Amino acid sequence: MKAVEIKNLVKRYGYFEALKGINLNIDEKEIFALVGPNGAGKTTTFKIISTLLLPTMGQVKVFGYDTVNESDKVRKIISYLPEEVGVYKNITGYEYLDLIASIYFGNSSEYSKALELGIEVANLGSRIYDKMKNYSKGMKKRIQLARVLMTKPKLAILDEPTTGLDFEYSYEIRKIILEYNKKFNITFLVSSHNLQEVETISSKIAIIKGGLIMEYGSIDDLLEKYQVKNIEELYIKIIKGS
Amino acid sequence: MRKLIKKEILDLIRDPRIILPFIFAPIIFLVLGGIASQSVQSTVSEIVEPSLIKVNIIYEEKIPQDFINYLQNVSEKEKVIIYFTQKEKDISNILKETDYDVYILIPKGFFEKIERKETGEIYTFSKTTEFRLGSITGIKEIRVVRIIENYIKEKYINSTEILNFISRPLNYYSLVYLPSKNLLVSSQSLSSLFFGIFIASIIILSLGAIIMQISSTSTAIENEYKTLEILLLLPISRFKIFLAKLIGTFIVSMIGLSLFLIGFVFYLYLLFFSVTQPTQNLPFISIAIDPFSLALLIASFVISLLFMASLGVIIGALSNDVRLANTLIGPVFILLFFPAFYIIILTPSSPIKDILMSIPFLQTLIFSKEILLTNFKITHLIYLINSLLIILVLIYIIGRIFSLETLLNLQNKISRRFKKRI
Repeated sequence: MKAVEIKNLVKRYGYFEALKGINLNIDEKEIFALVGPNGAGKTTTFKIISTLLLPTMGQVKVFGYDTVNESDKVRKIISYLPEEVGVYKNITGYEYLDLIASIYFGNSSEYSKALELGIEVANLGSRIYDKMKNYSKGMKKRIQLARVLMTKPKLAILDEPTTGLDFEYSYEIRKIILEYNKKFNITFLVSSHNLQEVETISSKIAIIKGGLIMEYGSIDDLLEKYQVKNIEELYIKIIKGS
Repeated sequence: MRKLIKKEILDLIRDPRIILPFIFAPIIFLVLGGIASQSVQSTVSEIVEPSLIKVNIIYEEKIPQDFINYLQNVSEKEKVIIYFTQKEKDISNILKETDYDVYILIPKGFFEKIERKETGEIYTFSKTTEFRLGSITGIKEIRVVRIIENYIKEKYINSTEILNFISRPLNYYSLVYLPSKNLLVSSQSLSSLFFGIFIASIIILSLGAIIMQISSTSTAIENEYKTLEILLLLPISRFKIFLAKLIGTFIVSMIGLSLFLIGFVFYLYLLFFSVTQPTQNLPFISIAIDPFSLALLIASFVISLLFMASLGVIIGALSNDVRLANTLIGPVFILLFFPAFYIIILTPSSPIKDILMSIPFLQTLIFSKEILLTNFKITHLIYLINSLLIILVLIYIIGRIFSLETLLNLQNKISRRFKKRI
């Protein structure tokens, strides 16, 4: 079964067409990267997959569930980390993770396991009991990543997860993505402006520009097809060539 | 949903912007009440126990010796010290250059008129450098005027007994009958009751504004910090998310409002303590209200606060940030304030009343007025059910718009409208 199936997806905001009919398939258990310049349509695509926005035309399925008609089922198996995400300033990291665990698992035994996992991913030590208004940008991102992964979703959508973070935090987040992909078979859909990062973690890539998918496939196949040495050259060749 | 409600409560109650005004409310009211009661008390004590006052009688022509003698005789008993000044310059200059509590100007021809048994005219003056209650009541002036009146009365009525009788030939007791309650109350008590209703209405208005402010801020913050997206992604119905927000806000508002009310009660206590000393026949409101009506009023009050909280959540959800939410609250509250003010001041007649009675918040204001004059009627229950239905419809609508797609569209439209106007 495909993790994500996108067929002829169109999204209009008034007169502006953000997505102009994209088609994309993402396999289970893979780490798929969606890259492109600012305003290309990455975030809109992510928001439609995660049921936050409705498509104007076309269809999106997540593990067979339609994102419009079966949005409740989709929300149960996905997790989304938006690029710009805030935190509740007056509650602690622990209280936040506790809330998420209880919403997903109620009082079942899964609840405490999820909470434990969340605390492990956040890796904030005793600071987990601090109010989140005292967290640095990196700590806020870690709490949000913990929120995404603690429920062991079938699909995790990460919109530029390392943007604005220092090297150490970025490295740890990449490590966590790779580890959780292997350990829990989580499918990742990631966007990033850091192409080296994409090359490190992803096996497949799609390049989007102006609401259209310019190219997509396995990184190795695309490097061979375009006769380039690395993903940066590939990106420039496709974007400029278009 | 319990955890979501807990999150709302914790996030709000730990926010100094939300909770500090509530903590300061009792202190502010205490200070305000102290200041107000001091001002009122000085006026009241002047009535209860008159102070010694210095009076300057300014005359334009020679005044009779018996008038001077009369004033000197009563001065100790009436606690006045009388001085006489012949008017040789402008009155404003006299006022400017001298310092008396009360000035009385006796114009030319005054005593001739009295001799002819015609009503005389005098002018009273006092000086004030500040605007406060005691300085504008004219209590001290009235004391001196009464002395002069008594001089005139005694001049023509020799018997003290007849003088007392003529001065006060009647003692009267004014009572008002409330047919629906089969109750007789003194008009003084009724006036106090209506004053009480006025205060209660102001409280309801204030509480409504506060709860709307809290709920809109709490929801707009979710938009501003982009946390609403995360909430909408959770595997929980949007309706429950909204309901948790509404209940959380409502609980925090209730905690805050109780502090607000404590402060307000302090304020009223200080104020009433200073004015009720000479006032008898305080109203016994409990006698006049039947338990069903009271239950009805409480139910209506709770529905009103829920209504205001729901409006606040809508405003907050439609605002990109807290600033826009605060801007939107003003016009929305004014829309409610005008009919509310109309209800407080006047009594609406049908069919306007029927419409207003079905709208939560406005209904509570009418109920709070009617409850004292009428007993529980079945129509009241129908109005209550109507308002409950309005709340349910409102909650349903909010549940429907609580999706990012709809909210983003509406937020963009509202933002564009406001940007255009700015």
